[in-house]
Amino acid sequence: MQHEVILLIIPAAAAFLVPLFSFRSVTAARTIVLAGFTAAFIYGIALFPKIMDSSMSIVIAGLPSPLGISLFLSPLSLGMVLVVFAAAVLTAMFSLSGPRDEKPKIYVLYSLFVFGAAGIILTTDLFNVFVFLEILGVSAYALVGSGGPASDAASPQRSSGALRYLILGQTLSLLMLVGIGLVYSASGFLSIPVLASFPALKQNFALLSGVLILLPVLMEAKMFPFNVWAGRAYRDSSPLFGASLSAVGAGAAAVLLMRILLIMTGAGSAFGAAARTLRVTVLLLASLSVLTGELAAFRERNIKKLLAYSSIGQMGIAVVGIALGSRAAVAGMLFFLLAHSAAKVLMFFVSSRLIGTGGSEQWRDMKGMGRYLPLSAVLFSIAALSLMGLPLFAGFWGKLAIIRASIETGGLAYFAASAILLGTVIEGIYFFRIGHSLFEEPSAETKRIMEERGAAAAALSFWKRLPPLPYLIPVFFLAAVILILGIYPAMIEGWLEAAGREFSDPAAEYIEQILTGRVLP
Amino acid sequence: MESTAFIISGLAIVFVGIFGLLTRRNLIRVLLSLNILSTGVNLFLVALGYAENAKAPIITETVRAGSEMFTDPLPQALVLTSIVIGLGSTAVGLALTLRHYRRTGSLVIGKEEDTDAA
Repeated sequence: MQHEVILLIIPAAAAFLVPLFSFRSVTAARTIVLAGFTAAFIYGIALFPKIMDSSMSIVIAGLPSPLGISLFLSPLSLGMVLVVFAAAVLTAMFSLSGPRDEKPKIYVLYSLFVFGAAGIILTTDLFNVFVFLEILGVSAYALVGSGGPASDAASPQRSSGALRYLILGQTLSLLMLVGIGLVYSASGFLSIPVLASFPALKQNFALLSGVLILLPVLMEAKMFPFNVWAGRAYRDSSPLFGASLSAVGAGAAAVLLMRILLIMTGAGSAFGAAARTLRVTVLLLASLSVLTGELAAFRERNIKKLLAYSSIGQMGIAVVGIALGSRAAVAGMLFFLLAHSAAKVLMFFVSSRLIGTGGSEQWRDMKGMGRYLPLSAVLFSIAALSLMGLPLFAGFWGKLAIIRASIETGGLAYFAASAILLGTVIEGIYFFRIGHSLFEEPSAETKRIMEERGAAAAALSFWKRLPPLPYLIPVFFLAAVILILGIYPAMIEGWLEAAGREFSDPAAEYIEQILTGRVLP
Repeated sequence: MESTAFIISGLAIVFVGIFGLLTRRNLIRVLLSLNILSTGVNLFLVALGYAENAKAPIITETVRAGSEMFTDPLPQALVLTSIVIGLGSTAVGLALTLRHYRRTGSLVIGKEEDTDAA
């Protein structure tokens, strides 16, 4: 067995260890998840230099692709898995500062959710993609339905968001299964590198199966019109899981979308005949997502739903980058995705604290809280400025690259570019509105809550008055990522360059490495 | 011929499921429609691997590899997986429905749940 497979084993093992060691104590569950993902993250980092030199494919059960299923470790896939694990580590660490009456079982689902996302990124088999998508999906439905901790009056345990998510998600993934069946019946293969190399399907057949396979992927990426679940699902889930949905789920969806839209659509590949139609459709849907997402966020008052709608808009921008497909667009997209994940996770963490302190999810009720919790408010503003794409923040470079790539492409991409620019303006308005309101004169109610809190804290020493360390470490880390990437974007240029190689047209490197070359014994 | 009949009936069941999903509001019926849809998809997948007058793909003392026509075992393996996944997601769906019913006394996701009054 190749030992690299423990990248996937650790999250699964963490999921099954949680119920063994934490019947009663949620702290034990959180610690197990934190330890597991930290170990997986460190292992991935240790592997990273080797993978940057040459990608490798991990053969499972001694049957190499295309007969068996293999996992593919490339700069892109390992890098994205590391992003996913990093989000999981930060979330687990942050959860240690949360209330103690959460159910430990939630962390089983959480580990499985991350496991599903990592699997989607690493696998090279279409049916395996479906299975991992279901693992991710089913655990996400249950997590959304579990809601926040019992004591959290601000988030009652509602099931409607989870039910909508489940019904849409299951329908679309069953349609994907039809598409997978069609592709298999026509080509006899399910392995993505094989499908990327020779079995050219007839145009209409390629279009039908391509659309069917894309459906659940577009849903996970929160693309219009498959995003009706997003607002309610984010509202019903705990802010912690909201952070993961927007970083972990979206990362996996983006990688999968790249595989389908960029690797499986080269000349002569399975969807080659329908490549243009598929890409143009996705480009239009993504541009519409930018507009609808930002408009919905503009008129939303619930902060969790607002962040969900803003995620729809941001994912729209990322998917525009994927649909354009040029090297520059893909590199910009990866940068953008990284910046968005960092900013969104940070915003969910901070708003979790603001909701927990003020007891309300409406951002208008948070008026003036920044005067009492300056650190949280400043961090929220940093994330917001990065999402808007202001220079000196990480979001700027990705957005710039995607807009530039769409203007270079011309034609329909002008529409995408103008949608992104318009979306940015709308985004600017509502984030400035929130940022401003956080520092306004607080309402009497907020004053009362905060002064009671202040009186209780006055008795403590300075160090005790600080927020707990499991809160401070993740938020400072994320803010540092946003600022450092914003000021010195060249830092990850090497990775972007290496990750983009996978999508050089034709996707020769990807195909060759999995099917023939450099498979270690 | 038989294989075409299987494919057509599989797709027919798929459309029955989709019709149910689009027209029913009762959550139990929606979940039932999902199950009908998944049955249709499974039948469709098996039908894709069907070959007339072929044997089940099991090699025994009398049936040798290479000497006989076999049906394609891969779609059948896929369908097994898909059945298990369908079971799991139905269970989650029913659990969520039960909780929704206990909370609201209704089996329909209505407008009242969409307001943000917490």
